[in-house]
Amino acid sequence: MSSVNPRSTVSIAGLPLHALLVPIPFVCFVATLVTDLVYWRTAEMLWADASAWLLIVGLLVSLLAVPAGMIDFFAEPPIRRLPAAWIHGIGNVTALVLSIVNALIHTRDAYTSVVPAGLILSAVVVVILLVTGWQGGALVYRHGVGVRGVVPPGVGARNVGTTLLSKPILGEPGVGERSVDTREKQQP
Amino acid sequence: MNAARTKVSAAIATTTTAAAAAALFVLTGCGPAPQDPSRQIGANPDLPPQHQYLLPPMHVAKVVGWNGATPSVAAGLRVQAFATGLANPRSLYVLPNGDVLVVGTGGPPAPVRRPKELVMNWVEKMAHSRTPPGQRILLFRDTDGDGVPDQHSVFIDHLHSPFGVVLVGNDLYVANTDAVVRYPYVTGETRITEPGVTLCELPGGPIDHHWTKSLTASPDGSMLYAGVGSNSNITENGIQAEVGRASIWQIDRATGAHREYATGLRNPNGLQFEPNTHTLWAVVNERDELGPDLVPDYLTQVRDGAFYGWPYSYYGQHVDPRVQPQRPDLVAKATLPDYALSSHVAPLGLVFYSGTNLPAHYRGGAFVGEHGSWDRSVLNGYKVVYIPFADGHPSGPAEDVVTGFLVAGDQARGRPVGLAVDGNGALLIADDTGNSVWRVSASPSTSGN
Repeated sequence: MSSVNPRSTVSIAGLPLHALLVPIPFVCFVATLVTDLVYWRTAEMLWADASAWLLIVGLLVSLLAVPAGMIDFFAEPPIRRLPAAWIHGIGNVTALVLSIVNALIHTRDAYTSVVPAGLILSAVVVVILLVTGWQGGALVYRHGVGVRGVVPPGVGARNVGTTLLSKPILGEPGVGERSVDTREKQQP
Repeated sequence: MNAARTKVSAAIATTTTAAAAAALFVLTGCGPAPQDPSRQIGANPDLPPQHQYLLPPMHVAKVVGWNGATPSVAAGLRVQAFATGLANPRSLYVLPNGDVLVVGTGGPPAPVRRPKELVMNWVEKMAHSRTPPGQRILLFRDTDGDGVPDQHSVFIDHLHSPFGVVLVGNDLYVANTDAVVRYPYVTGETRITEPGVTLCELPGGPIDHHWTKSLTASPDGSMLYAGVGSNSNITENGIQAEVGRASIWQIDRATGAHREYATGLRNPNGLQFEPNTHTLWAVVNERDELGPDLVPDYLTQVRDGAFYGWPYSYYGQHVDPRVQPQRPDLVAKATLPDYALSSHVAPLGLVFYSGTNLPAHYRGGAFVGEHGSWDRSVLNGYKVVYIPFADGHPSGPAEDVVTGFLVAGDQARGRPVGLAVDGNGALLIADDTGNSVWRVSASPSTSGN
């Protein structure tokens, strides 16, 4: 009894667009917190300007990444059955809305473009992203969302969160270690 | 399955809608309603609480041009087109023989430091004339005495964002955006081809936010005064970019040495000596993005050594939280300006009227050219006002003298900038957006009084 991995609807040559793009806003918004913090401590406008650019780049890439992720989510019922997908999606949309507001706050001039509202929003967004990023990782690396291939019995959605724990220290390989790549090599 | 999908979609939709609605509420809920500008005219303007926006408030008048129309003038006055079809005329200077210099000019290209500036530069372009600015001074001459010129020539060409002009003896000084340059002038000549000699360099690029350098000379001709506007709205280009800026420079005409005569003046323009008291006055563009009614622009006497607040505070000790590190020591000694003109009117021209052509009502006071607001939901300015003076100080409310620059509420036929009084005592108005110079004189029925 085997099942197919949840598909990514928006993919290019089998590579899921959402997973390809979503690291860019993640990195931008995390870096915004860093540059905001440096500005807060130095009052050197260079850092506030850097935050403004990071936010804009993050938002522009989100314009592609978020719809791709939403389409994947709505088009594929197996994805919607995963709690991780819900946390990831709702969290990221929240982070996106907060980042839009944050980008507007960063259009203010000088100190109050960052302190305090911008800095607080940047920090809240990073906290959200820590959670949603972890869940996004789980969607791919545990549940195989968008990963091409067939899930063997006992692997996949039903084994939520067991991969790390089931990894054997000694002895027989655990189920979680049997990656898709290995399987594909064994199949012929 | 379908039911489940619908439920899920509904849940997501609700969440997204709620988030979007919250965001929208925050965005549209921004900004107090503008109050009546008359509450901010005079020595004690009403200063409402500060408001910091989420969306920078932009409301620029769409440029529609004059199409044969003319501005409206107060009773007893008439207006004529002095010159039309110009390229961004911004400032005016009348030579002793009556020749009128018209400075056609535009600012240097603005660098983009932040994504915001991409939008701001675009909006600013919308608010100005489509004609590419010249970088030259034109000379207009009226040979038949009817007040309207019948000759014109290119007086000085290939300048660098010029604005201020002043003649002392045979030395004609032009304030380019980066230097005061001296040219030899002989009465009656219509073109200067000799290269200028730099008297004193002024803060110019690469960032050159407020680029118009206003210029005047002391009554005895020994000193020049140049207005050097700030390099930002409120230090967002870094405090290092503000060295020597937001101040009025006193330049020794003999040596070119300079000192900062007065500081803390965000964008001082229209430098003029009041003819009776021989004191220096200027109109100053105050800071933006603290609300529709903050901070009022003003007309003030410029006192030697005085600090007028920018960037740390406004109207004395009203501290601006956007400036870091703050300077309580400077805020404590900030001087109150003399006369508020209300918020965001953008005064760029000032002239004291000591002529005799206009009705007696207008003698001894000051005309101010208000370029008009771009960041206030109800437009303000876009007119020339008169402020009566007594004993060398403003003595009453500002009166509208020349209006009609706006039509249908928010379309601009033109925008007044620099002012001058011509050899016959008529008021000249440079209109950079309407690409014209207007001449306001006594209407035939009231002239000769």
